Amino acid sequence: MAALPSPAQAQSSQPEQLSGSPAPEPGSTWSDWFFPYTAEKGAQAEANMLRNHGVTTPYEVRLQGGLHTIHFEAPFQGL
Amino acid sequence: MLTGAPKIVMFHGFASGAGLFALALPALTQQFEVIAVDMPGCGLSPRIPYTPTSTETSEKWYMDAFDAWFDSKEAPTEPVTLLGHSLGGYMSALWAMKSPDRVAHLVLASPVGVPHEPQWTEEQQKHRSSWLWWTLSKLWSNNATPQSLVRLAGPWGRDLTTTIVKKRFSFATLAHPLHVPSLAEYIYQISAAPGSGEWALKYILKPGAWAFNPIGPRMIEAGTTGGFRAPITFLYGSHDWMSPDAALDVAAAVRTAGVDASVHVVQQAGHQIFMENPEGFAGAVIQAAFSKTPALMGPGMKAPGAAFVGLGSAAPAAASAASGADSELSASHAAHIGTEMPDETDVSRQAEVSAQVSAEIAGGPLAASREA
Repeated sequence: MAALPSPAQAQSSQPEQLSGSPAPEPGSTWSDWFFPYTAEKGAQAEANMLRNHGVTTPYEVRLQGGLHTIHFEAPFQGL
Repeated sequence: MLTGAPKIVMFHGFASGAGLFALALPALTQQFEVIAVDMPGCGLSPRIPYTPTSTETSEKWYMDAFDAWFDSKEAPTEPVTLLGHSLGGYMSALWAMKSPDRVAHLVLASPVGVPHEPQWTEEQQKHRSSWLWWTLSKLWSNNATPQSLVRLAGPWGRDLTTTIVKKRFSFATLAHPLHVPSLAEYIYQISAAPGSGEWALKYILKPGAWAFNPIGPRMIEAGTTGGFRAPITFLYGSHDWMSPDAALDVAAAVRTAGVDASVHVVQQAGHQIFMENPEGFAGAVIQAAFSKTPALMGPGMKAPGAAFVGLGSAAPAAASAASGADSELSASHAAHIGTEMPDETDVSRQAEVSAQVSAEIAGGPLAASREA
């Protein structure tokens, strides 16, 4: 089960550069610059997006059966 | 951790991701344990190299991935409410028919690929032979997906995505304003990732989003021959570019065989129902779930508000009672609501409806009935 970028954790992170065309950072390759996607940035973007849209329900991110899954716990705990 | 709450498993549409269900979560998680899944090779799911060769193998690729997910040890073992949006609706319907024992209620939110492609008139055919149409068709058949354009744009892909997001969701609800920078960054990230599941699109849909092998006739066959007995709920936005006509046909056909099927329109929403009217969307899902699967959801409910109207439905009295004057909306009217976006008045109305439904869902009868 993957570590969770929970809303609380996401809150403490810095926002990503969101616009403009980034210049290559020192040490990065041309390919890194032209294809700036990474799985880590994707996970962070998901956490930021959920936080910025008011998701306060505790959730867990996991790779389940080969698919990225976000599991939100319902406040309801049973009849 | 799986709780005792009823489970809803949600699959997103094309060029999308599970995170986009975010706005509907506050209401949905009042009643469900929500499990939102990135489609195979989409969203943040691993980008397994994949070269589709036909409609059949493309569907099988998706079905194998659904099987693997539902067979995983973390998956709910009891029948779930299975919700799919757009392409996710197409795939969810296929999987539900393949594994009917695992699905208690199938909810299809503006599913793509329900009807057969119509017979075009001579005039329409002329339009479809135009240079523009030919070019678009060629691009489509050569996998020029929106994601490939974002990848092609390299570091400028962020700006491209931001521009599209601003334009696409310019009328988003006032009750829940979208946070464009983080939304655009998320969509950018899931688009810029290497291509995989998106390559199946040209084998599933023709240009114009007509399915090669539409799900409507397959659902009718499964529903009328006893292959699929679970309730079915179709949801469309009042400003959806997809017509509910074919869904009405499916619902009418399977109802003759005793399947509890209905079609609903969520007001003040387009194709992205759960983003454009999240409370209306969640209210419709919850109401349908209580109406059609009461044993799963628990005892009793009161309609959460006038956020949606019933269309050609034999069942939901609660829906009709809740929808007021709009409940008489006819199928033909619904089909011609058109593609125009709401004006400012509509958005104000949307905020009003959203606030009303939100209040009722959060602290009102639904929550109370759950605690009873």
